[in-house]
Amino acid sequence: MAKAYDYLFKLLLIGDSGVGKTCVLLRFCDSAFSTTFISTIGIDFKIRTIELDGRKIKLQIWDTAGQERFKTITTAYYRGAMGIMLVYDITSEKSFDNIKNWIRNIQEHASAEVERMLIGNKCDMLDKRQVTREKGENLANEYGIKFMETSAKGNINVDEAFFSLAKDIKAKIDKRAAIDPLGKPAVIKPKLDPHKKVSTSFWSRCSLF
Amino acid sequence: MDNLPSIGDRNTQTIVCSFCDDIILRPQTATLTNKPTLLPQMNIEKTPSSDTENNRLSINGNDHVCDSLETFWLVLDMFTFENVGFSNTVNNQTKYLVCANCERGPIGFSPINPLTRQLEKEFYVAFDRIKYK
Ligand SMILES: Nc1nc2c(ncn2[C@@H]2O[C@H](COP(=O)(O)OP(=O)(O)OP(=O)(O)O)[C@@H](O)[C@H]2O)c(=O)[nH]1
Ligand SMILES: [Mg+2]
Ligand SMILES: [Zn+2]
Repeated sequence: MAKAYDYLFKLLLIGDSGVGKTCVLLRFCDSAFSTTFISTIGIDFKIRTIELDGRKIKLQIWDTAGQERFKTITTAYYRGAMGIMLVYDITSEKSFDNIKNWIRNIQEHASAEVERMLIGNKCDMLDKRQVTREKGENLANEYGIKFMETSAKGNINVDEAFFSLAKDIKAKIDKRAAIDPLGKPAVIKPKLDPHKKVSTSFWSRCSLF
Repeated sequence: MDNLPSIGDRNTQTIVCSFCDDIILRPQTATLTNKPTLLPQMNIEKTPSSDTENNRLSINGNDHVCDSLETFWLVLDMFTFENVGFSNTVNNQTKYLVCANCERGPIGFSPINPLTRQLEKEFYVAFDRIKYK
């Protein structure tokens, strides 16, 4: 049987507690279906298939567990990630200020080639806004990454954000494949840091797959 | 359906969520398998409201009422799924599968190896909890 997809991208949602990462991943925010069995155990990750330029792309999207902070998120967590959504809450200046810590964490632990995107979530709460759109845009420009304001609650721009990130990863891979006609597989390996070689190979044996 | 598939058959139609029609598996991607399993009942009751009458039905994951199911569509690679959600690991032995769109479930399960804590490469979708298109 022909391969069921052309690309496989692992995406992560990163950001302070309470910014809405889980709501971005899940269609129904917290109370919407809280009596179901599933809502009591929680969702770990999702697989979604999208089409871009006639190509089938599998997205594997991971949420970050509850109270994790950038200090505790290390190489193992980022392993194999090709795209990262950096999420802050437009009603929380603090969550926005922390983005630079998250960025630093990514630089330390994730693949150097990982595609990043900045997300200002809760854009439905305009009356409580603390971070202007412009501030978000400026920060994204500073890092040379895309920016979008979303509302998980209002279902604004959420799908668009995943599409946009997937598109950028695909473009990067296609570009590299054009330069290197032998074609590297569409999987980005974690950065090999000589000082961390032992732990890297340890975790590569502890893969989920 | 007119002609029920038998054990060992591949799915001839697209397997979709019985609530929202989201595509779960394309035709010819899963094999019908006999795998007697207790699967927690789906609770399709959506919004609870603040009404405590409704909340009485809410049951803790551990003693949730189960259905005894035998027939499952088996898939050996998680990326065969068009769309699907994986729950957190339950009792260090199972991840449940849910619809990626409406998040209702469990529509199936995948065993976890208790020693390695990794997913076994077997993904079971309950025959009785999906529909075809
Ligand atoms: N108004 C509004 N509220 C939102 C939105 N997204 C999330 N929330 C609310 O923000 C709170 C936190 O959302 P979560 O998705 O649990 O946040 P999280 O980032 O997953 O937090 P941790 O799991 O602790 O890291 C919840 O009460 C949500 O209902 C949004 O787009 N708009
Ligand atoms: Mg969360
Ligand atoms: Zn559904």
